Amino acid sequence: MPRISQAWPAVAAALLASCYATSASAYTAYVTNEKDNSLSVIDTDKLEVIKTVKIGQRPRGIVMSNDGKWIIVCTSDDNDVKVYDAKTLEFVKTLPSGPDPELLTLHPDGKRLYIANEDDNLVTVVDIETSKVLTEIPVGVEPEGMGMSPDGKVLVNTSETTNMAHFIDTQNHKTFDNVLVDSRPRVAMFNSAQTQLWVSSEVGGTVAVINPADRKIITKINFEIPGVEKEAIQPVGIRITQDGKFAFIALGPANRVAVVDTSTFKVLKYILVGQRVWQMYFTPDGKLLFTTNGASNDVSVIDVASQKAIKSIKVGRYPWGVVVSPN
Amino acid sequence: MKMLGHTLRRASLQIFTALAPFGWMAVPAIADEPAKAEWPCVYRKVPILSAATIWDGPAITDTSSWRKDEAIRKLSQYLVSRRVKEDEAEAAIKKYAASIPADTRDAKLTELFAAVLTRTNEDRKVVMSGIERFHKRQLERAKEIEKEGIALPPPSDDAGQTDDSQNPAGEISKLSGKEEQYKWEVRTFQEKQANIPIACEIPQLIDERAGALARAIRAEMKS
Repeated sequence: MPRISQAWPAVAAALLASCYATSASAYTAYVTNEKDNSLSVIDTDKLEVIKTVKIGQRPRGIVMSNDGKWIIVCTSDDNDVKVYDAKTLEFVKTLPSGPDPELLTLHPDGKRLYIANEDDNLVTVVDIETSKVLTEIPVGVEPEGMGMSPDGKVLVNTSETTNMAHFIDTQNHKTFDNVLVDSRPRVAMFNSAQTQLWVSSEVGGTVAVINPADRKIITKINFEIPGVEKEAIQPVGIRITQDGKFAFIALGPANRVAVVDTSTFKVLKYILVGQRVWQMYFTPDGKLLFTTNGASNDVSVIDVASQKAIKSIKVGRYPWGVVVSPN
Repeated sequence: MKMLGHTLRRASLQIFTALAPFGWMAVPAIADEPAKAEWPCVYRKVPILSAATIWDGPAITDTSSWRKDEAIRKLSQYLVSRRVKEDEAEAAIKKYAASIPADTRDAKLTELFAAVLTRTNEDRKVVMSGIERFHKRQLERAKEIEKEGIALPPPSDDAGQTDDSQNPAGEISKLSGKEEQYKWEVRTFQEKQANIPIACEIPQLIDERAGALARAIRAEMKS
């Protein structure tokens, strides 16, 4: 991009910039680089890295505070969660977590942060304002995925070894149901209407769609890509469009993101992205989807409307989590 | 001397601990997966990088015709060389694509990808078998060092009664020499062992580059 704008007259460059401005508003994407202990900051308008900063050891799961002021990162090897100012990227404070925090989710109330602690089979609940641990919820072996219902009433945690999705009431922090899914469940994601809960199973190679009302499995989705061995198809990240029509599933070392019709549960398309695609995040306008690709050290940008990968952006080593600012 | 004996035994234990993740100590558990014992990297060994994992263009059915095209032969060799920077490789792909008439461009670029993929797999094979050979030598060496460690005289149980002055002078220096040699062997072994994770990154770098080249080639295609 810079080379083109340098070569073209200023007018053409301005025209080009305005074209981009219509394709997506300028948000900021934050990517944790697990191996580099760093955070890559991407301008979603220019689609390039504008800053890279060092953060804690082995950063993985990342969320943003509901007001967009803070980014909150699991720094797994520091055994804590760190808070950074989203604008200045300055360190704000440390939040307590159990050991080896990996994934986290924030309650719609903007205060309660739920953190999965892989090593001691707990979900730790922390108030991000007071930095106090509110409670610890015992769950299955190796808790991993954390899916919060849009109304904030239910948290679903997946446990890698128990192969279950645990339904937790966020009022009393008690587990009220467990659903058995395929091997090594990773991510749990509600659709916005709260009529479906999608759970990916990395080793099982499937995605289970569960009815949150009765906790029955509606269907299990399988994936097949010609020329790619079945073992390489490892579903992890899940994102569902705001209108609830399409689900995007990151398939790990198959280097594809599957696009699934949420009414027929048919796979419509496999989008080729970077290597070992892991987590994903939409821009708030829903136009772009960013994917972290752990083995190719880049982020793929998917144009949601055309369901095409339009750009690869080089970031740090082992990009893991991604979040996009709400403004 | 007693302290040194303990240190060496600890070092010997560390060798086993270091090797455990590589499957040697865990042989019964992985008896049904012999390949793991030969492959020391944390990720699963993928012997061949298949086209479909990095390519969504036309099917790659012909993997040899590119060898007859001198331009593709030379360009693919340049592209897969890790000494060539990625943006230089991309520029070379763009230049080549521009030099091909539009009606045959996609076919030629597909052929170029077939060449890149073939060369990548040749490279991977050499690197991967190198890692396996190195790992095998380390396993053999660990067994030898362990035997030597066991053969070292045990430390005295009662330090108060140990009196080196009672031993003939020649015996002390002989013992010291053996332990000294053992210590160096352990250290050399550990230094070599530390290279394995670094070596394991090379196939990943090769795959990463192949993926980037595939994307750059696809970007110049219409189909």
